[in-house]
Amino acid sequence: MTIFISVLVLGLIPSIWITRNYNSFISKRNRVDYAYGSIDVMLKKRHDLLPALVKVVQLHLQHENNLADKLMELGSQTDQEMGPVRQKIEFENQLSHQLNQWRAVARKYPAFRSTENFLQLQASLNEAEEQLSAARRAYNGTVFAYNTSIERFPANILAKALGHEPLAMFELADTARETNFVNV
Amino acid sequence: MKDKKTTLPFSEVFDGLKPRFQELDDMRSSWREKEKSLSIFPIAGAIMVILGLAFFKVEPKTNTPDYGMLVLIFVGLLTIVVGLRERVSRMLDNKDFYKDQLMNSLVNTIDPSFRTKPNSFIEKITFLRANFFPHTSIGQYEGKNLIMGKRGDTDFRFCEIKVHDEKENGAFSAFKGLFFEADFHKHFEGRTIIKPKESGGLFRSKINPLEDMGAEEVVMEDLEFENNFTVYSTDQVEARYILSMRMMRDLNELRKRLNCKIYASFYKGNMYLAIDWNKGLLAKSWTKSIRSQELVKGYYNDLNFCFDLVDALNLNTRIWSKRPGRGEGAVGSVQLAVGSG
Repeated sequence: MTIFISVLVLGLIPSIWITRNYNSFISKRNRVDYAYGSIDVMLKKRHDLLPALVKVVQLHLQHENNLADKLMELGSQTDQEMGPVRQKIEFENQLSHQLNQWRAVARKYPAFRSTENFLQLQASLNEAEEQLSAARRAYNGTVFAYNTSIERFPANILAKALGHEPLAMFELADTARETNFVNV
Repeated sequence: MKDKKTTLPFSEVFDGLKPRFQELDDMRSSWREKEKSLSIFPIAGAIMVILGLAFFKVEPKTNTPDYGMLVLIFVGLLTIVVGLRERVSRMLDNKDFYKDQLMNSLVNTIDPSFRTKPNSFIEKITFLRANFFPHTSIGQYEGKNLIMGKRGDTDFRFCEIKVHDEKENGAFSAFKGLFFEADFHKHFEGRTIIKPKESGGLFRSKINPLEDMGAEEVVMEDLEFENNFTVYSTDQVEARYILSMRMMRDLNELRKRLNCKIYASFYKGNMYLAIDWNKGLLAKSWTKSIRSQELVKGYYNDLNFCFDLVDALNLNTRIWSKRPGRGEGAVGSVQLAVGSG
């Protein structure tokens, strides 16, 4: 009887521990995926502004054809499947760089900066970028929680056995802050 | 973004307001004197009651009481009640008028467009909407010193409030301090509440104020902010959109500056702040002379602090698509419901 109880206890404790940790990894991983979905929504919001940006540049800044072309080129790529996160980050950084250029160009033309078109577009862009930043922060928060849970001893042994690998944070160049348009 | 209002140095403000303050202080002193003279009625009433009681007799043979003395006692009591009532009501009227004038003079120096209503306060429904104390049965709700206006592009109003928690074994003070409402500069849909961090380490009680709405705790990146506050929100991304790094820094600064509990809530385009502030606006102004520069300086700084909340929390940065005052629950939209004290 004693042996039976000892075996039961010895078997039960590890099973509970494994189940608990397994479920915790899964729920944290799902949270990461969910948060990644939010980033996608916010990126789409930013991409949707590109046609309007191109239009405004073509309408008001005819001398800046190069900028319009680059924005248009990036706009055409937004519909394509991006693939891994790293590729996506690279593309978004390129886009951020072009948006920086757009802002720098706008600075040279005070008359353009006071147009209703520009003001509306700038407000929408600021909003989209800050929402993107918020989504990124939320995503990184979930990645941090997930990475911590799979790297802690002794759960890391189980995580490794189950094939859980640490995930990369989503880091983007913060265009708005770089150009001092948004002091947030 | 509109320019911040420049605040005049206090000595200049005081010099400019000196004649007005002298006039107000003279008025206050004369009213206080008149109030004292009204004490003659309760005193006379008390004397009548004492005399009546001292000389009251009952005729032993006929067993009839001395009706004259009874009338004297009755008249005495009546004089006490009427006299006291008259004195208190006149004092309250005078005090309200005086505080109104004093507050107006000070607020006008800061910004003439601001409006003051010393006997009014933000309605209870707005406080309930902010949902700072969801598990408290809020009973008595009272307030005073309502001030409203527009700083830059931001509509705001604030007042002092006292909120009681009605429990089975009596009413307890749930909150006493400053209640501030302002149009928030960003558009949002969900609900976010920031509460001061409960002390007690691992055993602290964590009450989610938005539990019914499926809200969860939001863990923020700013460690100092995490040590000071707990955030609950119906949307993890939106909470971070509202609480930008700068907003967290500003709230940390505010907490450090005041060293008291700060609650914040974001709902229907507005921001609500409840500051557990022991100081009262224009406290003791009725009993003390405002010729004292130190006293007035305290009032001036307190008022300026409230107005500066808009700037301190950067609410005037209007670079997002939300237009000023376009929130669903625009600040002061229920003006008719403003409570009266």
